[in-house]
Amino acid sequence: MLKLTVKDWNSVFFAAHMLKLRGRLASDARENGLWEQLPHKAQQILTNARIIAEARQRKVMWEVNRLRRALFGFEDKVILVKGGAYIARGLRAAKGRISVDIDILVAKKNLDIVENHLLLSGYASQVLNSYDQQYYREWAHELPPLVHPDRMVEVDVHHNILQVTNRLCPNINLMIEAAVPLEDNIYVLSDVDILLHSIVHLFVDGTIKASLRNLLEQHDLISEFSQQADFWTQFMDRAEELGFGRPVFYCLRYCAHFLNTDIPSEVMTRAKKAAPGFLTLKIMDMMIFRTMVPYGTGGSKVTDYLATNGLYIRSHWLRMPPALLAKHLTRKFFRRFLKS
Amino acid sequence: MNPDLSTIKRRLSGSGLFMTVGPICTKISIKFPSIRDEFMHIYKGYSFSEQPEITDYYLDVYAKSFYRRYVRPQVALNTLTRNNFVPLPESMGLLSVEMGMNWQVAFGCKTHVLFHAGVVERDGIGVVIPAISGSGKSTLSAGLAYDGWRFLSDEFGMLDVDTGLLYPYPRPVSLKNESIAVMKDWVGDPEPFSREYEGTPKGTICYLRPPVPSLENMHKPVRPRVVIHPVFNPNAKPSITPLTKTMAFFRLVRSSANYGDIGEAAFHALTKVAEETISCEITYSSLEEAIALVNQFIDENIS
Amino acid sequence: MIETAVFKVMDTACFLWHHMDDAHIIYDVRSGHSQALNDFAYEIFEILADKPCSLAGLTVELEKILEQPLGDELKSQVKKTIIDFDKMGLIEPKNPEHRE
Repeated sequence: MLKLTVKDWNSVFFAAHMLKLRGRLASDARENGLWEQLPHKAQQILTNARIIAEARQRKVMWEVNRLRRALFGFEDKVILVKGGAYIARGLRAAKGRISVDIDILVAKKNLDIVENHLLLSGYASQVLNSYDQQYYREWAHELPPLVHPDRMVEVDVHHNILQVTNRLCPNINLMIEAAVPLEDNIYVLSDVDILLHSIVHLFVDGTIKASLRNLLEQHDLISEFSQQADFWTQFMDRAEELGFGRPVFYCLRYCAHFLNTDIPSEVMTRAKKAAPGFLTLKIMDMMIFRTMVPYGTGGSKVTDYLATNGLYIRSHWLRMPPALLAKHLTRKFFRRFLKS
Repeated sequence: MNPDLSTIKRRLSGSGLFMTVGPICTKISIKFPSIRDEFMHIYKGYSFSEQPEITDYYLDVYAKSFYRRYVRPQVALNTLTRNNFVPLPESMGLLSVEMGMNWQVAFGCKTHVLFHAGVVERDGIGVVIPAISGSGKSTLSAGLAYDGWRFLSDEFGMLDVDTGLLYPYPRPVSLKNESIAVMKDWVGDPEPFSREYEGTPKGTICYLRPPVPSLENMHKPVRPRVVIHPVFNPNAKPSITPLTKTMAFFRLVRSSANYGDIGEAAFHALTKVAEETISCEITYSSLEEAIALVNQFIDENIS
Repeated sequence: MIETAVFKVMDTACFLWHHMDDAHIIYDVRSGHSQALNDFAYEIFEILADKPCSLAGLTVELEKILEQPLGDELKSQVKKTIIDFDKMGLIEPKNPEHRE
């Protein structure tokens, strides 16, 4: 970081901005003892990024505090997942992270009770359209987002980590049982489940646009958790038990490739059993390598675009059976069409 | 050393020009000749560079499509943080530039506590003029600036949380409606004014370049000593109402865009400002009156 | 619930104080929020920070300090303060009745 020219700094900040990694850069620069030697202007920009990340995290943790208050008297587990859990646990993966909303996981039988507690405490549903309400309740793995008007932080209440229609949808009760307490009725997933959840999100669910950031998250989780002696065995056993062999294989492959993550060779060998066929792997490699490169820094924008969207289509396809997907896309399409 | 005018123009229309105002460096490019000219006029005497500098913000003023460029020109804005500003017609050009820069500072700057306030200085006494719109904050800070005071900022007061000093960010003053004629009369020279932009969401807007000495001292901080909340009332008798420290504190919090984000450091900085400054509300019906009240309050309370 | 619950201050280390001439400003490091407390509200907060207390218990404590019974107006003021404190997150109810 010390040898950078002004031009380098600008492109580093640009790429970090696009990948939403500025906060992480700020946190790393301070920890590496380089801080004092950085140009004043770079310090200033990194300080902005650090304060923004800290402010977001404070907001998220305060919302968790308010959730705990709203769920006072609810006797079962409320499991904090994703960013909220990393921040609450003080994990390395939370460093400089800009979290914007909160995800909690509760047993499906508790969905209505939890929703009622939140509505009584002043939270309001963000989805008023009845088609979307219906869609959420029928097909999604979560309630329509809830927001408290005083704080405007979105709270997503999940009853599974994947949509129930997803081929990879796990037996969520296993994860809920293994969750560990944090404060009162607020819990977090066990270490191995935290990592598996992150992996499943990157390689199965959602878009893959900021995937370097997500891969870094997994790298951080692996590096931190694998300090415990029996982590790898527990992790691989759990991955197989929950049926996540394939996404785990991808994660380990790309973490090792891009971030030089320390993965024991016997673990890699075991993960390879779940690898896809030669051609599928080739295509996946091509798409991943493309999306790892920040936008507009060399390479063809068209192929970048296709790769990003190709992956999105692929993960969307995994989420719902094809016919259902077609129906959903058509409804969305027509509503958009009517509006314009 | 500033580049010459033709270089400034070329960089503005091409790969971008680096402009430093106070603690902030913005890389700007403007694809419309008319807006470019207006920009160069209102930012005459500011600090530019064609050499790259570590850049806080990017501002790209461009046309969304070929059609928009030549047939019914509309100005689109691109900043790193957001690019979905509502496009403005070309005739409102400078507005989009100012809007884009304000937006980026308001949401991006966390190294300083930002006040929605004018800041001016006399004899080393820093005066913060926070206010809600319509109170005449801009008119009062510009009026003082063209009455021999040093102008630090109109839109954003910037308080460094470590040193407790106010840093200048002397961008052009944005004057609205009736205050435009008042200021033209006050300054007496049309040169530092932009043209008047009519029919904006806030009525007619006109920009005023701060006096030259204020621009020359744009890196020189000042200690806050006085906070003045102006209230414009055409029918009222001029008056000064002192504020308690607690009221002063909460009014500063309310006028700050990033107090909540900065957190603990901002709490300490603002309690310190509330303790170490004197605050009042002034009610006035004309610019002369307001300036007299400000001077009176300072002379009576600060030795 | 307000009538029966026992309220507590979670962790006094979360709060920074700045005492001005006419009020007590409290900054909550968890929420980043600042509030101004008058002397009466400050006294109530101090009692709760000292030991968890119900509304009835709080009334007894205040009567001890003021050396006279609280009138209806003050009583409702105490109740309102408790509700506000709870909303701001300065205090929270302790142990639901059916646990413990």
